[in-house]
This record gives sequence, structure tokens and C-alpha cells, in this order.
Amino acid sequence: MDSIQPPPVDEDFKSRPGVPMERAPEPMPGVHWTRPERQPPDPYVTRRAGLQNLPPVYSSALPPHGLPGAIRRAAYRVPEQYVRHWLMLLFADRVEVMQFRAGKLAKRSGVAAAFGLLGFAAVRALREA
Amino acid sequence: MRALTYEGPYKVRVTKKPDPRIEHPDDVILEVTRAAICGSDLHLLHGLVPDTRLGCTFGHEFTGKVVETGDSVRRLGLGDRVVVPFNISCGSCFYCSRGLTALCENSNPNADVASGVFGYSHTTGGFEGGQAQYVRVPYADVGPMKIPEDMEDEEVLFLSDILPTGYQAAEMGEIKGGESVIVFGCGPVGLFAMKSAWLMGAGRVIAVDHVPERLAFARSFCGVETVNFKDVDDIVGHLREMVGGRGADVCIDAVGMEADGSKLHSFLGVHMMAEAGAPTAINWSIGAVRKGGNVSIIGVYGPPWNLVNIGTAMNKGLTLRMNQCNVRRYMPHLLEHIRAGRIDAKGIITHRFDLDDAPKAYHLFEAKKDGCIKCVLRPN
Repeated sequence: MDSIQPPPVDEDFKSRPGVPMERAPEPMPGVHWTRPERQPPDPYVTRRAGLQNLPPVYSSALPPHGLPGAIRRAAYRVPEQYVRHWLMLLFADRVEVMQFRAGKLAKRSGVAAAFGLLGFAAVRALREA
Repeated sequence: MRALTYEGPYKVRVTKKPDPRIEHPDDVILEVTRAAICGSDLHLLHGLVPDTRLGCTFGHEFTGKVVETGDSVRRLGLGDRVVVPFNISCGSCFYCSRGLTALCENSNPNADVASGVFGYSHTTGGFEGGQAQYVRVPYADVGPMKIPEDMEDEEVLFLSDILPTGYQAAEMGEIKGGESVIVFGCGPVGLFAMKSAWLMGAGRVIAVDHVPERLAFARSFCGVETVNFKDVDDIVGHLREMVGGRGADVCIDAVGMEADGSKLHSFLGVHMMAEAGAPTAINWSIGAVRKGGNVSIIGVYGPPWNLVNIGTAMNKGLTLRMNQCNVRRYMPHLLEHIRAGRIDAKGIITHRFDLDDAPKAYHLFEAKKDGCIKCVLRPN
């Protein structure tokens, strides 16, 4: 392990990487564009109210669907300075979880019922034999 | 590929998902070599971050090997090992060009409050995270940093988030030499904030938490004084007394929205969600800092609001500084600290798991059991 208390090598305030926090504007190393190329448009990506164009890069993962998706689409029509925007998103999250868990329960119940019926039929068939 | 998948609050599973693909000419695909679980991933796990969609993959601290590159990628090639900042930043917008990569306006269509972040809900852009075998990395010429050949992935893994985050927390405290610094939270970010405070010349560093193993770790890893807030009746008064009565010069909140210590705020913020998490550590910071002092907030809070004691802050003439970390600008500097042995970044790793055991890792980490400070996953 290193020395527990490292020496104060960054005591010089001005030599720290984040000082000043806001620098004079300059493109970062690696930038080879004036404006980044645009990612090909996706059929539907949620975006905040007031944003005209998608940013050059975005995620196309998990587009909104079903009832929670409808709530999310509605939420993104409300500007984010309104509390209802965030409450609608949280509500959509809960609806999605409830739907998912209800679906799993129904699937398990369906499987259990199917096995129950099969078992019942098998016992009956054995008795008749 | 196999990936950690969110299935609702307190429930994650490892499932099969489609491999990521190049969607933009400056993307790369990484085969993930190491992925850490961050304290802020627990806010997602607990369902506290709006628009966390079922099926998403968490993970914003990772290293990997480049296995596919987009047509316009110039700086990276196949086989390069890289560590990736958690912020997705274009490097050229109004904010990035001023060094504020955490505020990039070219990576998150869903909210103006933050840049895109890997694996951190659709509020930060809905990008898939690195707790998976593969991950798509946009703006690959700007964000990722090549790992020096003589260094292991785990040595630099935490340059992706918690080490720069802890460093920026101390930096925002404007430590100039000799100050008393109180750090709330002995998690990984808090530990690195303590180390950074020493690097910047702090005169005294006091750590506050309530988990005895974490306090012991802070003493042995960072050489700080510690206080268990459950052992004292009035934590703010106790801390002020410790530093001579006026209060500390600098207080750092390295806890965030799921703080313990106030039943009222835990009830309102975490259980009822009537405020965006419990701002207990902010309020303690405001109370324990001296008049005219600095409060640095690096713990994560979300919109829309919290019951913060802003009147006291105003009347005490405090400087409040806060932000997500602008990771990329700190990476080269902190790499040198690691290389020189001033910071043993991988020394905080207490547990390692294969990807398939990620749910177990999450539950161990959130319970803070078995002396767990930091869990790292090995996806491949």
C-alpha cells in the first residue's frame, strides 16, 4: 500500500487540473470535427421538451412501448422544470414494474395450472386403467 | 452477450442481450475487462432515478479492449486497452470546450441537467452500461484513455469515475494548505476525497460514517480521524467542537441521496419519495462548516427538489460548489499519482466477482457486509 497520507504535491492551487473550472474555450484533444457527425435518425427516441433536434449521438436502446411508454412520451412533452415531468417518469417506472411482475406471476400461474391439469388427468387415467 | 439487467427495484439479473453495434462513425465497441459497481448504481437499483427502464444495463466504471471501431475513429485501434470516463462527452460543444465535460450538450436528448452517462437511466441518455460483456462507447476519440502497457486494468479502473470524482470534490473545497476538512461518507468517493485533501495540503481530515468497518478502513487507508455519527448525540455540534468550535474550513458531502442519519429525511426522501432523496449530508455539511467556509457536494442528488437548509448557508456566507465530475480532464494527472504510488487506487477493491454473480455482488455491496468497500466484476 502507498504511504497513508500522500505528500501535498498538489498544494499549488493553480497546478490542479480543474483550476479554473471553466477554461477558455478550446476543442479537446481528439476532436476532429467542427460539429460532430449526426447519428442516423432512429424511429423514436424520447427527447426533452423544447429540444428541436436529437444530439449527434444518442442511445437507441429500450424505446418506449406500451402503457409506461405512453406515460413517458407524455412526460417528455412537459418541460423538466415542472415537477410533474419527473413525477410522471417515476410513475411510468412503477407501472412498468407492476406490469412486468404481474406478467411473470400470470406466466407462473399459467404454467402451474397447466401442470396441475396434466397431473389431474394423469391420475384420472391411471385410476381408470 | 451476457449483461446485467434491471428488473425493477432491488432486482437485477444476468441475461442474454443482443451485442451492441456501431451506431455512429466515432463509436467503438469494447470487450469489457473490468466493471465496478458504484455507490450511485444503488440509487438506480432502488428505483430512485426517474426513467430507469426495465431491461437496461447498469455500469459506468469500466475498462475494456477495443474489438470494433467506427469509420472515423482515429485515435484507437483494435486491441487497444482503454479506461472510459463515465460522462459521454463530445469534446467540442460550449461546455466541453471549456473543460466541463459533465455538462456536454451533445450526448443526452432526455434532460438538460446532465450529459449522457453510461448505464444510468434514460434521464442521462439511456446509454447501455458496462456491466456486460460488451459495450458501445460513443465519441471514442475524445473520452477513452489508453491504458499504459506497464499497467494493469485494475490499477486504472477507478480513473473512470470515483478517483477523479473524489479529487474534484476536494478541489471544489478550494483547499490551499492547512485547512480542516470534514468528509461525510467513507465509501470509495469519500476515501479518494480524503486522499486528495492530503495531496492538496489539508491540515486535518476527519471522516464521518456509521459503518465501523468503513471507518476503520478510512483510518488505515487514508490516515484520517474518524467519527461514527451513531455514537454521538449531536453530530454537527460534535464536529464543530473537534475543530475548535467555529466549524471546519471545508465540508465535503460524499454521500448523496440515500444518506442515513435523519429519520425525517430518510422517510420523506427515500421511502415516500416526497423529496429527491435524503439531503442529510448536505445539511450536516452546512451546519459543521465555519462561516465563510466551503461546502463541496459530490454525492449524487436528482431532480426535482430537496429540503436543504439554504437559509443557514446564505446567512453563514458559505460557498457551495457542486457538479458531477468532469472526469476526462483529471485522468492524466491522477494516472501520474497512481504511477508514483501516491494513490493506490486498486487498494480499495475488497471483492471480485464473475459477471454471473453480479446480483450477489450488488446485494453484498448495498448491505455493506463482509467489509465490502468496492466490488469489481470480471465480465470476460
